[in-house]
Amino acid sequence: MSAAVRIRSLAQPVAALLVAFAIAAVLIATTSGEPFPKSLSVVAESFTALFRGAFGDVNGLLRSLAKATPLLFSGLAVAVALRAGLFNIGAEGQLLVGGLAAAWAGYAIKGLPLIIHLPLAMLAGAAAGALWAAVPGVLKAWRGAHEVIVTIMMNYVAIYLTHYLVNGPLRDPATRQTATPTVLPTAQLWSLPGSATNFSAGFFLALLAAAAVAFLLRRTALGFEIRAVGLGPDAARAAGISVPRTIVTTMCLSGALAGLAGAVEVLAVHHRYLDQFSPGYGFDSIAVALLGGLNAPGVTLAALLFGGLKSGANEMYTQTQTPIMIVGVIQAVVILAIGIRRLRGRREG
Amino acid sequence: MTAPLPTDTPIIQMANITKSFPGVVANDDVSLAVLPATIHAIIGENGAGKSTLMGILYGRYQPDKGRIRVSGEDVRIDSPARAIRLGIGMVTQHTTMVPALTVLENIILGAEPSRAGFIDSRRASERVSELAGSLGVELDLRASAGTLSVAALQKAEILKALFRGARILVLDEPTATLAPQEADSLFRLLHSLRDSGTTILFITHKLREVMAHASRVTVLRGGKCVGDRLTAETTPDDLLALMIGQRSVAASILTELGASPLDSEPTPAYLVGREPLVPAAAMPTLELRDVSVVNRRGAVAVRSISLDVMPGEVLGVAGVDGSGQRELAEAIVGLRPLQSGSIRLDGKDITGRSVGDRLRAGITFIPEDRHREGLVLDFSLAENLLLGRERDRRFGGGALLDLRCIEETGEETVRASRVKVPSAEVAARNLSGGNQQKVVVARALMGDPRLLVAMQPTRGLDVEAARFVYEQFQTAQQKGLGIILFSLDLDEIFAISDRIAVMFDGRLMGVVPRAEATVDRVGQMMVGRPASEAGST
Amino acid sequence: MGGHPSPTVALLLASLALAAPLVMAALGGILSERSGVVNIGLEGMMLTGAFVGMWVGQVYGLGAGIAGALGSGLLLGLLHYVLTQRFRMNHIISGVAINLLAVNGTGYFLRVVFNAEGRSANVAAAIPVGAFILLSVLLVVAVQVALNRTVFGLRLRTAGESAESGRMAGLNPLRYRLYGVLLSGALAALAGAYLSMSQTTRFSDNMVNGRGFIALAAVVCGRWRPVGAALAALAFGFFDALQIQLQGRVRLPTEFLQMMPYVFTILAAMLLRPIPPADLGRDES
Repeated sequence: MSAAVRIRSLAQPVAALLVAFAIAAVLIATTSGEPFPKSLSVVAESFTALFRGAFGDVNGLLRSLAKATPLLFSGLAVAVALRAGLFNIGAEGQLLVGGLAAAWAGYAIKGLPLIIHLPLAMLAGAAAGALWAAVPGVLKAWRGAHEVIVTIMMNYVAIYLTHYLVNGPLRDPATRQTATPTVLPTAQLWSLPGSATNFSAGFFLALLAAAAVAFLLRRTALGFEIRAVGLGPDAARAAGISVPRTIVTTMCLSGALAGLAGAVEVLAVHHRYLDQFSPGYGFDSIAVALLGGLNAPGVTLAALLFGGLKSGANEMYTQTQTPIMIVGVIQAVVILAIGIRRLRGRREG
Repeated sequence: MTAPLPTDTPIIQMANITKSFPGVVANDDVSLAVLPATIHAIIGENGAGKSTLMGILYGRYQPDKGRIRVSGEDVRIDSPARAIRLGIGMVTQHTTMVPALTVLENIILGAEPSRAGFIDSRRASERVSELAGSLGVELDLRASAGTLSVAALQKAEILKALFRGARILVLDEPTATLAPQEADSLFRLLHSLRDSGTTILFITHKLREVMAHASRVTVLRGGKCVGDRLTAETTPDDLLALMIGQRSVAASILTELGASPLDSEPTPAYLVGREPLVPAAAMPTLELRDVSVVNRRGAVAVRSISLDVMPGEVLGVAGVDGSGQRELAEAIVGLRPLQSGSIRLDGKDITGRSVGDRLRAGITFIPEDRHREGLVLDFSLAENLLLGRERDRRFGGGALLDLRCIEETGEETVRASRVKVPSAEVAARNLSGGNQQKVVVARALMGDPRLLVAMQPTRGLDVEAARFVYEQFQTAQQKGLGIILFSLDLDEIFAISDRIAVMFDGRLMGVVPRAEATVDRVGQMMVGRPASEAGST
Repeated sequence: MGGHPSPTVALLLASLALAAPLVMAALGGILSERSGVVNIGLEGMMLTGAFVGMWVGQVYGLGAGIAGALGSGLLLGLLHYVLTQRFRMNHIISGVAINLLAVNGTGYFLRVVFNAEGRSANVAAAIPVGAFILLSVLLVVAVQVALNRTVFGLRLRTAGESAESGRMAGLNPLRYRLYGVLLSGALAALAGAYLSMSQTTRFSDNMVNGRGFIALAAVVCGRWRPVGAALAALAFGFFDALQIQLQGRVRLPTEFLQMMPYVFTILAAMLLRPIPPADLGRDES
């Protein structure tokens, strides 16, 4: 890809971010309670605190990377699905069942060495996510049911199902918290000692996943079929590609990635499934996928950015009392600004 | 049959209408004059510009140049609403009746009798029933439009136009999907409308209809108006000659070689001097037995057709648009299931196999709509060559793609097809129509297929690109490829077919060896005369 | 006869009270989708209505609060229309963004304006539950009649089934889509205002909590028809009321009851194959 094209394809996400920050700035300024010149300094302070908290020092950076980890996994999940033209709004639910399955495999299966147990637990998480996403996939392929509605419904089913399980049959009797028993050490993923940052090996696994997705899309037959179905479903069909099979496979892949997001959080950060451990990673991932232009390197950058923003938001609140929701507003405006050019499995990078 | 002497002032005058779309001039300085209370026909082959012209009259398009006069006044028709206000009503080829609404709702849409915003359904159904009754049309107004037959829908559409007070009725290919009796019934209705003062304009291919029902006919060809006749003073052969003319690509290639497609004598020479491949092989590549196919709307589009295609031959399938060719082609490729019958490839039954399976068995496809079905426009040229073949051994043989091989194949194709682009990484969207088609053809001929289903392979191509396509076909034929060619371009059919099959109304009217085929004979079969009777002029 | 109502009647009343906002939001969803515009943003529109209603209502009284909520719903509806019809944005993406904007926007303003951590001071006046239930029933009838028997309804349905046919008949389908989406915003916002200004007279973070999606589910289960959607919403309200009553009393896990609306919708999608309006979500090309 030529340099000119590369620069042009960066322009849109950057422009979207600038617009989003501008609108956030206006919001902060007008609600700061200060008159005009002073309100601008409130904006400046807020943004400075935001970025400082995110990337200003080592701890902040590690925290940002840790927050970026589940965002990257689920952002990849949404991006892969969108490349095939599918809207996977269900990453949140797939993440929850993935986390729970990983936790269960982590504490219920005993007597295995780390080298088997840990991958097994992660696999359980991926499989659970894949299965959860297979439902909307099959319904779409077989019945033409719109996956948006079904995935949204599956989210809520997942929320209630995991809530029930972790409150009931899978609950750890030994503690007050609503959680499963602690995962065995042989299934725990390495994390930085001292729980201040939550940084773990999961981050590197997420990067690996990004590389794997990039490889899949560019260098495998399946990846080619996914892109073909997303960009030209009629031509794909007329050329002999099985569109239903591609849909189901893609949803399963997407679900597996989202399931891994949950699995990694559980196995690395909390070491058990904690009720409501997800502050909505699955929903954030839509913005991450769109901002990242649906390709692995872009999604990685977007996940790092939003991980940073989420991490820095706390610092921003501490310093300037600007509520952390401003990050969500930025996310929303980014989606609007990017989505204005019709997006349908379109590769922007 | 002479119409009553009309007054001299045309009720519709379209003068010097020119309209272009990207890449094509649809109407080139076309003029049309229609007298009031007459039935006026517009004929021409596909792509001649008839629908565009009527679309301009109805306000769907704006002409680039030209004037329109209705009832003597200069007008600008900038929307269908304006056309309706001028008293023009249109019945399109594909119905605009909304299936989910009732017949009554469809008819009154846009002119609903109402009281305080509520639809006055009693008054509405009274008025519509009255109108229907006065025309002898029977319709169940409360039925949902989705349940109506095509013929009934059409009557409803006419009612809809008349309900809005149309004095001028435009119909686009009204009998394309009607059975003969339904067509008769329609024309009776049109005649009685004409007698009560309505002006009727209808677009058609069917010369018999023109001679039987219209008092005047305008012929379009290649975007231009090439003739305007009183039907009393012309013959079907005249009209056919005006319609077909000598402008198509295949024709100009033939002309270069000294062969003329309009000879009424059979032409012994074949295109580009190739020796006819005698089907010495006993086993046909493709065998269709009693194949019936249903179209998207549930109507039977292909009626019990049996056909063979021999290795190395080109079987050209001629027919007016809508005779079932599309459905038959889709059925052979696997995009559409058979309602009944069987398909065999090299003796093996493939009825019910998927598109991918058939591709691997050796059937390839050049679809009609290269933008939607032929190419993924956002893929590069090289990637498009890969479409459907990404798991072929030559490209990696399974899960992984051999990127270098893909790139090389792309470059090689660019070279061999003489596509003028900097590299094979160019997006298909940015290629010209001709180059896009070259890519589709190149992909279809990759890997020594057994049977090629080609739909309109040279539509919209210039001479150089079309010639390339025919050369590619030839090369592949020498390796045993059988081609079934569906084309609306008679010249093309005549230029490269070994045998010519004709479809009409979903049926096979006959198969004629090229050596015994004349345009006249084939033309008559295309409009419904069986092979036995045709050609006896 | 007097004293406490029997448990059954109490359950029924509770169902109605819980179903009413769902019905209203579902009616909004129907109006938008029957005109051809997918509206995933009902959730966000409800939340915005809840917040704005509470905010304006605190300062200027109940009537102003309702008007404010309606206004915010109209604005969001207008945004959705402009994005999807003028900018040709994908309907789903627009809806997702609106939801995100609403959740974070209301959360932001909640903290900035009220200095509150996730909830607000109580609203002085309140929307009477009975009146709201009555209103929603009347609206079901009104929307049903409007869609099927008025000129407006016929043209709106045409816009959603076949915009091209509408144009051929001389209409402007986009205008009816605008009306459909504006109405959906207004109705959803009104439903949201009820949530924050009736029995529960407070606003808390994300208080709609998925009801906008349940309303969508009711639209699908009811096959895009007002009466069908209302019945589905009533069923969902019933399950909600049931699980509240059963909490702590019965061993049956309440989560399964809470799951019911969502499972039903998935089953409906699988078994019924409900057919949406033909032109729904289609991009103009």
